[in-house]
Amino acid sequence: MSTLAELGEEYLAASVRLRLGIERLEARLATLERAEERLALEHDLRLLRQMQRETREVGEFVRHYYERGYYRNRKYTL
Amino acid sequence: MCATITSGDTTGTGSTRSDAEREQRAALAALKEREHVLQAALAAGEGSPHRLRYELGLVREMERDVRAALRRLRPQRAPVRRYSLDGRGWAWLEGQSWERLESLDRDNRERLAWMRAVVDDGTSTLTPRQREVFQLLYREQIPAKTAAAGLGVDPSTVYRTARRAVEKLRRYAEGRELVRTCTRADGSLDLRRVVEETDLLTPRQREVLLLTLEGLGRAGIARRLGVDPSTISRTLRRGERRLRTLTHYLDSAQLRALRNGKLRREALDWRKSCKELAAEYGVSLAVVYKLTAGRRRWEGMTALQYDVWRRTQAGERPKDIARALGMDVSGVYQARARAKKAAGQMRQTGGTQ
Repeated sequence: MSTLAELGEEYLAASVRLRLGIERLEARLATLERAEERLALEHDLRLLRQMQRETREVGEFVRHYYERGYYRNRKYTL
Repeated sequence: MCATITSGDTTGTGSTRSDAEREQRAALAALKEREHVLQAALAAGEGSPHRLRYELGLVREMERDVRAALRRLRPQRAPVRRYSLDGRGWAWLEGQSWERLESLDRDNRERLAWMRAVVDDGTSTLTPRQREVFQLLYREQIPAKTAAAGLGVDPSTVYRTARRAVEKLRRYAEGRELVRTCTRADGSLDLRRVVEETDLLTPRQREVLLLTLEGLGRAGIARRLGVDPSTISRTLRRGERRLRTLTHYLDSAQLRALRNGKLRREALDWRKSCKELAAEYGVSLAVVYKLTAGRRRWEGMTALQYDVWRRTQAGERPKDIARALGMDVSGVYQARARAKKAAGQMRQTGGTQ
Protein backbone atom coordinates (compact mmCIF):
# COMPACT_ATOMS: atom_id res chain seq x y z
CA MET A 1 0.00 0.00 0.00
CA SER A 2 1.64 3.23 -1.07
CA THR A 3 1.03 6.72 0.22
CA LEU A 4 -0.70 9.34 -1.89
CA ALA A 5 2.63 11.12 -2.51
CA GLU A 6 4.18 7.89 -3.83
CA LEU A 7 1.10 7.27 -5.91
CA GLY A 8 1.42 10.79 -7.31
CA GLU A 9 4.98 10.08 -8.41
CA GLU A 10 3.87 6.86 -10.04
CA TYR A 11 1.21 8.70 -11.99
CA LEU A 12 3.84 11.22 -13.07
CA ALA A 13 6.11 8.45 -14.34
CA ALA A 14 3.19 6.74 -16.10
CA SER A 15 2.28 10.02 -17.77
CA VAL A 16 5.85 10.41 -19.05
CA ARG A 17 5.87 6.84 -20.38
CA LEU A 18 2.60 7.51 -22.17
CA ARG A 19 4.02 10.75 -23.63
CA LEU A 20 7.06 8.90 -24.96
CA GLY A 21 4.83 6.22 -26.43
CA ILE A 22 2.68 8.84 -28.12
CA GLU A 23 5.75 10.54 -29.59
CA ARG A 24 7.00 7.22 -30.94
CA LEU A 25 3.64 6.44 -32.56
CA GLU A 26 3.40 9.96 -34.00
CA ALA A 27 6.79 9.48 -35.64
CA ARG A 28 5.58 6.17 -37.08
CA LEU A 29 2.36 7.75 -38.32
CA ALA A 30 4.37 10.22 -40.41
CA THR A 31 5.96 7.30 -42.30
CA LEU A 32 2.76 5.33 -42.95
CA GLU A 33 1.26 5.36 -46.44
CA ARG A 34 -1.82 3.12 -46.32
CA ALA A 35 -5.04 4.77 -45.23
CA GLU A 36 -6.28 1.79 -43.16
CA GLU A 37 -3.06 1.63 -41.19
CA ARG A 38 -3.11 5.36 -40.61
CA LEU A 39 -6.71 5.20 -39.38
CA ALA A 40 -5.90 2.38 -36.96
CA LEU A 41 -2.88 4.22 -35.61
CA GLU A 42 -4.79 7.49 -35.25
CA HIS A 43 -7.39 5.62 -33.26
CA ASP A 44 -4.68 4.23 -30.95
CA LEU A 45 -3.18 7.69 -30.60
CA ARG A 46 -6.52 9.16 -29.58
CA LEU A 47 -6.88 6.54 -26.88
CA LEU A 48 -3.34 7.11 -25.64
CA ARG A 49 -3.84 10.88 -25.50
CA GLN A 50 -6.98 10.40 -23.46
CA MET A 51 -5.13 8.03 -21.13
CA GLN A 52 -2.36 10.57 -20.69
CA ARG A 53 -4.80 13.37 -20.00
CA GLU A 54 -6.57 11.31 -17.36
CA THR A 55 -3.29 10.17 -15.83
CA ARG A 56 -2.20 13.78 -15.53
CA GLU A 57 -5.50 14.80 -13.95
CA VAL A 58 -5.54 11.99 -11.42
CA GLY A 59 -1.85 12.52 -10.67
CA GLU A 60 -2.37 16.21 -9.98
CA PHE A 61 -5.39 15.48 -7.85
CA VAL A 62 -3.51 12.88 -5.81
CA ARG A 63 -0.36 14.99 -5.39
CA HIS A 64 -2.28 17.94 -4.01
CA TYR A 65 -4.90 15.99 -2.11
CA TYR A 66 -3.86 17.23 1.33
CA GLU A 67 -3.11 20.81 0.36
CA ARG A 68 -5.55 23.20 1.89
CA GLY A 69 -7.40 25.32 -0.63
CA TYR A 70 -5.97 23.59 -3.63
CA TYR A 71 -8.36 23.40 -6.51
CA ARG A 72 -10.12 20.07 -6.39
CA ASN A 73 -11.05 18.52 -9.66
CA ARG A 74 -14.80 18.12 -9.55
CA LYS A 75 -14.59 15.22 -11.97
CA TYR A 76 -12.86 13.06 -9.38
CA THR A 77 -14.69 14.19 -6.28
CA LEU A 78 -17.74 12.40 -5.00
CA MET B 1 11.86 14.80 -6.19
CA CYS B 2 8.15 15.31 -6.33
CA ALA B 3 8.04 16.72 -2.81
CA THR B 4 9.93 19.81 -3.92
CA ILE B 5 7.17 20.87 -6.22
CA THR B 6 4.13 20.17 -4.09
CA SER B 7 4.96 22.38 -1.13
CA GLY B 8 3.27 25.72 -0.50
CA ASP B 9 0.07 26.89 1.07
CA THR B 10 -2.23 28.32 -1.57
CA THR B 11 -4.64 29.93 0.86
CA GLY B 12 -2.24 31.78 3.12
CA THR B 13 -1.98 35.49 3.75
CA GLY B 14 -0.05 37.95 1.59
CA SER B 15 3.38 37.15 3.01
CA THR B 16 2.97 33.35 2.99
CA ARG B 17 1.55 33.57 -0.47
CA SER B 18 4.62 35.40 -1.72
CA ASP B 19 6.83 32.90 0.14
CA ALA B 20 5.03 30.04 -1.55
CA GLU B 21 5.36 31.80 -4.88
CA ARG B 22 9.09 32.31 -4.34
CA GLU B 23 9.46 28.63 -3.52
CA GLN B 24 7.60 27.60 -6.64
CA ARG B 25 9.64 29.95 -8.80
CA ALA B 26 12.88 28.56 -7.37
CA ALA B 27 11.63 25.03 -8.09
CA LEU B 28 10.76 26.05 -11.64
CA ALA B 29 14.21 27.58 -12.20
CA ALA B 30 15.89 24.41 -10.90
CA LEU B 31 13.74 22.27 -13.20
CA LYS B 32 14.56 24.46 -16.19
CA GLU B 33 18.26 24.14 -15.44
CA ARG B 34 17.89 20.37 -15.24
CA GLU B 35 16.01 20.42 -18.56
CA HIS B 36 18.89 22.30 -20.24
CA VAL B 37 21.44 19.83 -18.86
CA LEU B 38 19.42 16.87 -20.10
CA GLN B 39 18.90 18.44 -23.52
CA ALA B 40 22.62 19.09 -23.83
CA ALA B 41 23.39 15.49 -22.81
CA LEU B 42 20.87 14.19 -25.34
CA ALA B 43 22.35 16.34 -28.10
CA ALA B 44 25.89 15.23 -27.24
CA GLY B 45 24.84 11.58 -27.17
CA GLU B 46 26.03 10.98 -23.59
CA GLY B 47 24.40 7.98 -21.89
CA SER B 48 21.33 6.01 -22.92
CA PRO B 49 19.08 8.15 -25.15
CA HIS B 50 15.98 6.32 -23.97
CA ARG B 51 16.82 7.00 -20.32
CA LEU B 52 17.61 10.66 -21.11
CA ARG B 53 14.36 11.15 -23.00
CA TYR B 54 12.44 9.62 -20.12
CA GLU B 55 14.10 11.95 -17.62
CA LEU B 56 13.49 14.93 -19.87
CA GLY B 57 9.81 14.00 -20.08
CA LEU B 58 9.68 13.69 -16.30
CA VAL B 59 11.23 17.12 -15.81
CA ARG B 60 8.78 18.66 -18.28
CA GLU B 61 5.82 17.07 -16.49
CA MET B 62 7.07 18.53 -13.23
CA GLU B 63 7.44 21.95 -14.83
CA ARG B 64 3.84 21.68 -15.93
CA ASP B 65 2.83 20.93 -12.38
CA VAL B 66 4.77 23.88 -10.95
CA ARG B 67 3.33 26.26 -13.55
CA ALA B 68 -0.16 25.09 -12.61
CA ALA B 69 0.64 25.72 -8.93
CA LEU B 70 1.93 29.21 -9.80
CA ARG B 71 -1.23 29.96 -11.73
CA ARG B 72 -3.25 29.09 -8.66
CA LEU B 73 -1.18 31.40 -6.53
CA ARG B 74 -2.10 34.39 -8.65
CA PRO B 75 -4.47 36.75 -6.84
CA GLN B 76 -8.04 35.99 -7.75
CA ARG B 77 -9.81 39.15 -8.77
CA ALA B 78 -13.55 39.44 -8.46
CA PRO B 79 -15.10 39.49 -11.93
CA VAL B 80 -15.86 43.02 -13.08
CA ARG B 81 -19.50 43.60 -13.90
CA ARG B 82 -20.03 45.42 -17.14
CA TYR B 83 -23.34 46.69 -15.97
CA SER B 84 -24.06 48.69 -12.87
CA LEU B 85 -27.25 49.94 -11.37
CA ASP B 86 -27.76 53.67 -11.40
CA GLY B 87 -24.03 54.25 -11.26
CA ARG B 88 -23.69 52.09 -8.18
CA GLY B 89 -23.03 48.41 -8.19
CA TRP B 90 -25.26 45.87 -6.61
CA ALA B 91 -22.36 45.18 -4.25
CA TRP B 92 -22.88 48.61 -2.74
CA LEU B 93 -26.58 47.97 -2.38
CA GLU B 94 -25.88 44.67 -0.69
CA GLY B 95 -23.55 46.30 1.79
CA GLN B 96 -26.31 48.60 3.09
CA SER B 97 -28.65 47.57 5.84
CA TRP B 98 -32.34 47.95 5.26
CA GLU B 99 -32.64 50.61 7.93
CA ARG B 100 -29.85 52.65 6.38
CA LEU B 101 -31.45 52.43 2.98
CA GLU B 102 -34.73 53.61 4.43
CA SER B 103 -33.07 56.56 6.15
CA LEU B 104 -31.28 57.79 3.04
CA ASP B 105 -31.67 61.50 2.34
CA ARG B 106 -34.06 63.01 -0.17
CA ASP B 107 -31.63 62.98 -3.06
CA ASN B 108 -31.66 59.25 -2.86
CA ARG B 109 -35.42 58.99 -2.82
CA GLU B 110 -35.57 57.80 -6.39
CA ARG B 111 -32.92 55.22 -5.83
CA LEU B 112 -34.66 54.07 -2.69
CA ALA B 113 -37.94 53.70 -4.56
CA TRP B 114 -36.14 51.75 -7.23
CA MET B 115 -34.47 49.55 -4.67
CA ARG B 116 -37.78 48.90 -2.92
CA ALA B 117 -39.43 48.00 -6.21
CA VAL B 118 -36.63 45.60 -7.04
CA VAL B 119 -36.73 43.92 -3.67
CA ASP B 120 -40.53 43.76 -3.55
CA ASP B 121 -40.92 42.44 -7.09
CA GLY B 122 -37.78 40.37 -7.04
CA THR B 123 -38.70 38.45 -3.93
CA SER B 124 -41.50 36.85 -5.93
CA THR B 125 -38.82 34.97 -7.87
CA LEU B 126 -37.39 33.52 -4.67
CA THR B 127 -38.40 30.19 -3.21
CA PRO B 128 -40.50 30.38 -0.02
CA ARG B 129 -37.51 29.39 2.08
CA GLN B 130 -35.24 31.95 0.43
CA ARG B 131 -37.87 34.63 0.98
CA GLU B 132 -38.14 33.66 4.64
CA VAL B 133 -34.38 33.79 5.18
CA PHE B 134 -34.06 37.06 3.24
CA GLN B 135 -36.81 38.58 5.38
CA LEU B 136 -35.11 37.49 8.60
CA LEU B 137 -31.57 38.50 7.69
CA TYR B 138 -31.98 41.63 5.64
CA ARG B 139 -35.23 43.17 6.77
CA GLU B 140 -35.46 42.14 10.40
CA GLN B 141 -31.67 42.25 10.85
CA ILE B 142 -31.59 39.04 12.86
CA PRO B 143 -28.11 37.46 13.16
CA ALA B 144 -27.68 34.37 10.99
CA LYS B 145 -27.00 32.11 13.96
CA THR B 146 -30.19 33.17 15.75
CA ALA B 147 -32.18 32.77 12.53
CA ALA B 148 -30.68 29.30 12.06
CA ALA B 149 -31.64 28.29 15.58
CA GLY B 150 -35.17 29.55 14.96
CA LEU B 151 -35.48 27.66 11.69
CA GLY B 152 -33.85 24.56 13.17
CA VAL B 153 -31.08 24.35 10.58
CA ASP B 154 -27.33 24.82 10.48
CA PRO B 155 -26.06 28.44 10.19
CA SER B 156 -24.19 27.47 7.02
CA THR B 157 -27.53 26.54 5.44
CA VAL B 158 -28.88 29.98 6.32
CA TYR B 159 -25.82 31.69 4.82
CA ARG B 160 -26.11 29.61 1.67
CA THR B 161 -29.81 30.28 1.27
CA ALA B 162 -29.29 34.03 1.84
CA ARG B 163 -26.48 34.10 -0.69
CA ARG B 164 -28.65 32.38 -3.28
CA ALA B 165 -31.53 34.75 -2.55
CA VAL B 166 -29.31 37.79 -3.00
CA GLU B 167 -27.83 36.34 -6.15
CA LYS B 168 -31.33 35.83 -7.56
CA LEU B 169 -32.30 39.38 -6.64
CA ARG B 170 -29.17 40.75 -8.26
CA ARG B 171 -29.93 38.92 -11.47
CA TYR B 172 -33.49 40.14 -11.33
CA ALA B 173 -32.35 43.72 -10.77
CA GLU B 174 -29.87 43.66 -13.62
CA GLY B 175 -32.31 41.99 -15.98
CA ARG B 176 -35.03 44.46 -15.11
CA GLU B 177 -32.79 47.48 -15.50
CA LEU B 178 -31.23 46.27 -18.71
CA VAL B 179 -34.53 45.34 -20.28
CA ARG B 180 -36.01 48.67 -19.19
CA THR B 181 -33.21 50.63 -20.80
CA CYS B 182 -33.34 48.52 -23.93
CA THR B 183 -37.07 48.94 -24.50
CA ARG B 184 -37.98 51.01 -27.54
CA ALA B 185 -40.73 53.63 -27.55
CA ASP B 186 -43.19 51.15 -29.03
CA GLY B 187 -42.61 48.73 -26.17
CA SER B 188 -40.63 46.23 -28.22
CA LEU B 189 -37.32 45.00 -26.92
CA ASP B 190 -34.07 46.03 -28.56
CA LEU B 191 -32.61 42.56 -28.42
CA ARG B 192 -29.39 43.60 -30.11
CA ARG B 193 -28.63 46.07 -27.33
CA VAL B 194 -29.49 43.51 -24.67
CA VAL B 195 -27.11 41.03 -26.29
CA GLU B 196 -24.37 43.64 -26.60
CA GLU B 197 -24.65 44.93 -23.05
CA THR B 198 -25.44 42.00 -20.81
CA ASP B 199 -22.61 40.33 -19.00
CA LEU B 200 -24.56 37.12 -18.58
CA LEU B 201 -23.37 35.88 -21.96
CA THR B 202 -19.92 34.59 -22.80
CA PRO B 203 -18.04 36.50 -25.56
CA ARG B 204 -18.54 33.61 -27.96
CA GLN B 205 -22.27 33.40 -27.27
CA ARG B 206 -22.53 37.15 -27.81
CA GLU B 207 -20.67 36.89 -31.11
CA VAL B 208 -22.88 34.06 -32.38
CA LEU B 209 -26.11 35.72 -31.24
CA LEU B 210 -25.17 39.01 -32.91
CA LEU B 211 -24.39 37.21 -36.15
CA THR B 212 -27.77 35.47 -35.91
CA LEU B 213 -29.47 38.81 -35.38
CA GLU B 214 -27.72 40.03 -38.51
CA GLY B 215 -29.62 37.32 -40.33
CA LEU B 216 -26.91 34.75 -40.85
CA GLY B 217 -27.90 31.10 -40.70
CA ARG B 218 -26.24 28.29 -38.79
CA ALA B 219 -24.08 27.23 -41.72
CA GLY B 220 -23.10 30.81 -42.55
CA ILE B 221 -21.95 31.53 -39.01
CA ALA B 222 -20.07 28.24 -38.86
CA ARG B 223 -18.26 29.11 -42.09
CA ARG B 224 -17.39 32.58 -40.88
CA LEU B 225 -16.07 31.42 -37.51
CA GLY B 226 -14.42 28.31 -38.94
CA VAL B 227 -16.17 25.81 -36.67
CA ASP B 228 -18.67 22.99 -37.04
CA PRO B 229 -22.37 23.95 -37.48
CA SER B 230 -23.28 21.74 -34.52
CA THR B 231 -21.01 23.87 -32.32
CA ILE B 232 -22.90 26.95 -33.45
CA SER B 233 -26.23 25.31 -32.61
CA ARG B 234 -24.99 24.45 -29.15
CA THR B 235 -23.57 27.92 -28.48
CA LEU B 236 -26.77 29.48 -29.77
CA ARG B 237 -28.96 27.26 -27.62
CA ARG B 238 -26.96 28.06 -24.50
CA GLY B 239 -26.88 31.77 -25.27
CA GLU B 240 -30.62 31.84 -25.85
CA ARG B 241 -31.24 30.03 -22.60
CA ARG B 242 -29.23 32.66 -20.75
CA LEU B 243 -31.04 35.46 -22.53
CA ARG B 244 -34.39 34.00 -21.60
CA THR B 245 -33.48 34.06 -17.92
CA LEU B 246 -32.66 37.71 -18.37
CA THR B 247 -35.62 38.94 -20.38
CA HIS B 248 -38.44 36.93 -18.85
CA TYR B 249 -38.33 39.18 -15.81
CA LEU B 250 -40.27 41.79 -17.77
CA ASP B 251 -43.29 40.02 -19.19
CA SER B 252 -45.41 41.30 -22.03
CA ALA B 253 -47.87 43.01 -19.66
CA GLN B 254 -45.07 45.05 -18.13
CA LEU B 255 -43.70 45.91 -21.54
CA ARG B 256 -47.18 47.02 -22.63
CA ALA B 257 -47.46 49.20 -19.53
CA LEU B 258 -44.17 50.91 -20.41
CA ARG B 259 -45.37 51.56 -23.93
CA ASN B 260 -48.74 52.85 -22.77
CA GLY B 261 -47.11 55.27 -20.35
CA LYS B 262 -44.97 56.73 -23.12
CA LEU B 263 -47.94 56.93 -25.46
CA ARG B 264 -50.03 58.77 -22.89
CA ARG B 265 -47.27 61.28 -22.23
CA GLU B 266 -46.84 61.91 -25.92
CA ALA B 267 -50.58 62.29 -26.43
CA LEU B 268 -50.49 65.48 -24.37
CA ASP B 269 -49.06 67.21 -27.43
CA TRP B 270 -52.24 67.96 -29.39
CA ARG B 271 -50.32 68.64 -32.60
CA LYS B 272 -49.83 64.93 -32.92
CA SER B 273 -52.97 63.23 -34.09
CA CYS B 274 -54.24 59.90 -32.83
CA LYS B 275 -53.56 58.43 -36.26
CA GLU B 276 -49.95 59.54 -36.11
CA LEU B 277 -49.58 58.09 -32.62
CA ALA B 278 -51.08 54.80 -33.75
CA ALA B 279 -48.69 54.62 -36.70
CA GLU B 280 -45.68 55.52 -34.56
CA TYR B 281 -46.35 52.94 -31.87
CA GLY B 282 -47.61 50.30 -34.26
CA VAL B 283 -50.95 49.85 -32.50
CA SER B 284 -54.51 50.13 -33.72
CA LEU B 285 -56.34 53.44 -33.51
CA ALA B 286 -58.76 51.94 -31.00
CA VAL B 287 -55.90 51.35 -28.55
CA VAL B 288 -54.85 55.00 -28.83
CA TYR B 289 -58.43 56.20 -28.33
CA LYS B 290 -58.79 53.98 -25.29
CA LEU B 291 -55.52 55.11 -23.77
CA THR B 292 -56.07 58.79 -24.41
CA ALA B 293 -59.80 58.94 -23.66
CA GLY B 294 -60.50 62.03 -21.59
CA ARG B 295 -56.86 63.04 -21.67
CA ARG B 296 -56.85 65.00 -24.88
CA ARG B 297 -59.38 67.54 -23.65
CA TRP B 298 -58.58 70.67 -21.77
CA GLU B 299 -61.42 72.34 -19.90
CA GLY B 300 -63.92 70.56 -22.07
CA MET B 301 -62.25 71.54 -25.32
CA THR B 302 -60.15 69.61 -27.73
CA ALA B 303 -56.52 70.60 -27.87
CA LEU B 304 -57.03 72.73 -30.99
CA GLN B 305 -60.06 74.48 -29.56
CA TYR B 306 -58.19 75.14 -26.33
CA ASP B 307 -55.25 76.63 -28.19
CA VAL B 308 -57.48 78.84 -30.32
CA TRP B 309 -59.46 79.90 -27.24
CA ARG B 310 -56.32 80.89 -25.34
CA ARG B 311 -54.99 82.87 -28.29
CA THR B 312 -58.36 84.62 -28.67
CA GLN B 313 -58.32 85.50 -24.97
CA ALA B 314 -54.81 86.89 -25.46
CA GLY B 315 -56.26 89.23 -28.12
CA GLU B 316 -54.92 87.62 -31.30
CA ARG B 317 -56.91 88.06 -34.50
CA PRO B 318 -58.36 84.93 -36.24
CA LYS B 319 -56.20 85.67 -39.27
CA ASP B 320 -53.00 85.62 -37.19
CA ILE B 321 -54.10 82.50 -35.32
CA ALA B 322 -54.77 80.73 -38.63
CA ARG B 323 -51.34 81.70 -39.90
CA ALA B 324 -49.65 80.61 -36.67
CA LEU B 325 -51.38 77.23 -36.62
CA GLY B 326 -51.13 76.68 -40.38
CA MET B 327 -54.85 76.33 -40.99
CA ASP B 328 -57.80 77.98 -42.71
CA VAL B 329 -59.43 81.04 -41.10
CA SER B 330 -62.85 79.38 -41.29
CA GLY B 331 -61.43 76.52 -39.22
CA VAL B 332 -60.35 79.03 -36.59
CA TYR B 333 -63.85 80.54 -36.48
CA GLN B 334 -65.37 77.09 -36.15
CA ALA B 335 -62.95 76.10 -33.37
CA ARG B 336 -63.57 79.39 -31.59
CA ALA B 337 -67.32 78.91 -31.72
CA ARG B 338 -67.08 75.39 -30.33
CA ALA B 339 -64.62 76.51 -27.66
CA LYS B 340 -67.00 79.26 -26.66
CA LYS B 341 -69.79 76.72 -26.35
CA ALA B 342 -67.59 74.39 -24.27
CA ALA B 343 -66.49 77.28 -22.06
CA GLY B 344 -70.16 78.20 -21.50
CA GLN B 345 -70.96 74.62 -20.54
CA MET B 346 -67.97 74.54 -18.21
CA ARG B 347 -69.17 77.70 -16.50
CA GLN B 348 -72.64 76.16 -16.02
CA THR B 349 -71.35 72.88 -14.56
CA GLY B 350 -68.91 74.54 -12.19
CA GLY B 351 -65.67 74.43 -14.11
CA THR B 352 -64.43 70.97 -13.42
CA GLN B 353 -63.89 68.10 -15.76
